[in-house]
Amino acid sequence: MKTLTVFFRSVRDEWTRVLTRAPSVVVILVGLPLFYPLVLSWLYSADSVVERPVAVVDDDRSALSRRIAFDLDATPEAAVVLRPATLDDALRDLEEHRVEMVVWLPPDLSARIAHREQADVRVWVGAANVLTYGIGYPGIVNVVSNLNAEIGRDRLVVAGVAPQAAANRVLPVRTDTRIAFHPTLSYGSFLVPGILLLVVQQLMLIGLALSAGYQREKGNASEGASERPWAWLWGKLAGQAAVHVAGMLFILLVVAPAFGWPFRSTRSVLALFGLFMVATAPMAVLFARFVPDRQAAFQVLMYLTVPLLMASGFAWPRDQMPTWIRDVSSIFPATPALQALRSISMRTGDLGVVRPQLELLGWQAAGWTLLAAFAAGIEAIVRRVSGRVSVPSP
Amino acid sequence: MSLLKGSLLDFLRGIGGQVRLLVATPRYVVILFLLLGGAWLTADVYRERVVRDAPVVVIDEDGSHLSRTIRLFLGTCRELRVIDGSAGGDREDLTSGRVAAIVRIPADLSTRIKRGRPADVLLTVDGSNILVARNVMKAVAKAVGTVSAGAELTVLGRLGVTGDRAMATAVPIALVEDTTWNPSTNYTIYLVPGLLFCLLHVYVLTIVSSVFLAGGPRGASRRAGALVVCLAAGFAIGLLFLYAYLPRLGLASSSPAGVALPLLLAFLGTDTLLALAISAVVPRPLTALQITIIIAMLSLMLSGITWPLDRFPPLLAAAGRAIPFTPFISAAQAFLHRPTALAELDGHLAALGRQAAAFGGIAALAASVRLAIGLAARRRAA
Repeated sequence: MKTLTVFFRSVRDEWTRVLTRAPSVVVILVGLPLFYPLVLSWLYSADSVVERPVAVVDDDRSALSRRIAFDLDATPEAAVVLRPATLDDALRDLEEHRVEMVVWLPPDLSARIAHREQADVRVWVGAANVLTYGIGYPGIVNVVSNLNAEIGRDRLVVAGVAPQAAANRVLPVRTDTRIAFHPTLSYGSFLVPGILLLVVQQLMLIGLALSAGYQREKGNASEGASERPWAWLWGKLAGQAAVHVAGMLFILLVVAPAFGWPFRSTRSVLALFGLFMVATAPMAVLFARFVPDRQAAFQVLMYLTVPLLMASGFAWPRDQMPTWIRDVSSIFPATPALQALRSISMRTGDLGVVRPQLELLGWQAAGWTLLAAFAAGIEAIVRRVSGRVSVPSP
Repeated sequence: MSLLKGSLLDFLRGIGGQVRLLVATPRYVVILFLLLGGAWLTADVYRERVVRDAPVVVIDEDGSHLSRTIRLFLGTCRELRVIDGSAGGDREDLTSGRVAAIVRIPADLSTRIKRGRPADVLLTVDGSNILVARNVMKAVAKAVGTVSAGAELTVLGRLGVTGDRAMATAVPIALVEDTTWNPSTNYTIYLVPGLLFCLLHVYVLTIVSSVFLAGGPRGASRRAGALVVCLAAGFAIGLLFLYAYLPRLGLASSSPAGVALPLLLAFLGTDTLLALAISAVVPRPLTALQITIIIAMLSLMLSGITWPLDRFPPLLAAAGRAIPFTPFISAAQAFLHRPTALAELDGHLAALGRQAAAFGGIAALAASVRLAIGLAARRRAA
């Protein structure tokens, strides 16, 4: 049977024998783009981390110490939730995760300030979670900095400097910070778009492998599939393509706007996702060739998500990764796609800026297609020589 | 007696069959390879531990001693790699991601300071990667703040305020920071244990759930033997992570094995019961496997190690607390990073115990219902 005949028959059978008859496949093809994006978007819907719980131990009990506690509680970064009687109690609260930071105001705090000496405020921060540390700690730093400026100004006035000049002399060089592209530095907007892209990848990989596994289990693969397994798989992929695209459109045009995930230009993001899917398609075919049944699709392919996200450079700078990880991860379409997504979701909608990543996606599409063709060629030779294959055929 | 012997033999056959399955079946070997390889790769991503050498363009329009000092201080920050401003520094560099930030030192900086006026150093930072942006902002603020304090001390010296008095005027309240459990705000400590044990969690749930698939061991004794092997395999890999993978990254457990191992065992045992409960409740084994893996994949997000639980919608927070990975990784953050006694983690053990009781109860109830239905059907048939 000719390759094209097998291909078109497989496209048709994907709808008549799988998508209308195999609930286990349909549940995943529909459930994956519905369930994961919605749950993850809901999980991160608060977007920013604020009001980190703080315990203040006030052993000074002065107006100054009360002011520090009050100012700290007034910041968006921290909330004073506990006022333990002793430092030991507070540190226990920190160890048992009731608070993320302990601020100790020592008994001589106001006395030292009154005597124009330097006073210490001691802070214990649970830095095991860098995200919450990065929010809560700057809260106390800002409170103390503002107070220092105020006290320093008063001391200069006492030293004989005019009030206005004293204000100018306190911390004379300041940093005026402008945060470009993502002024809130919120975590949800930073993370979720990347996960949405990986959901599309998993939809394609698992969807195709699951469908192929189903037909292999049931023995109802299209006619000619045994002789032309690769054409059969490409046909299945083409048959599923409408479902994949629908899933991708639902994620980008429904979920992302509903939760306010940032995309500078919908058109650019659609183009990027489209190219990403083209590059992922031959990879999905290659993987599906080695999946014997439905279980294997799930058991094996789920492991790809976490390492691919971590190695892509989406969160951690790629130039700080070992060379071998950069080399391995550059094989997978998720890497350039996630890098490009970082740009066009936050920085600019201009695809020209991410041209190197788009070119790499194009090369990967070609490379994976060639690899799939090469595997098909090897299999054909092995078949001819030995009359059998070691990989499962329908 | 012969019933007991038969059960024991079946139990041993279950053990033997599951061992063969896990180490000699291509599919399970591939899963094991993906687990160990994926964990190795994930851990190695964070080998540098902290953000360093973020490219920052410094445009020094002042060219004074003060501005050169700022530039020097910026250059000494581990987080920054200073790039000469003449090589670029426009918005396009930020848009393309070539640089992480631009620091512009204004032309009148030193003049303003000399005239007793404050001056601003303008930092424009690329906020699209919040991790890099926060580190850059912190480093620049520290460098500029240090120079600023120096400038203030110089002014105080001219006013006759020197030594400790000057320091007490410039910085009346010193903030002494004790970064408990993670002194250098190391990202390896923050993320790697969670990622590794989450992969182990996925693995254990997968292999336990797979015991109930068609072709798996039949009968309670054989299945019990297979489950013991799943638990043992998870425990062995957990030991590998604890005593080989993590120490390789400088993350040796601060607590003795007497603390870490009971928690690991309790976690894996509860995981086994979770997969068992899902398999008992969901009639189709394949659907049970799918549900189990979907729960497993969400566990990292739901555990609260990256995104704090108090920012979750209440329903998802409750779901997170019901997954064994959540109390385990919370306990691991304690016992890995500081010397901890087992008694200090009794809250986490109690949470795992409650989960284990609930999952075990659900599994037993579902099994009883199935048994009752089977008996009723048999009676009707008789």
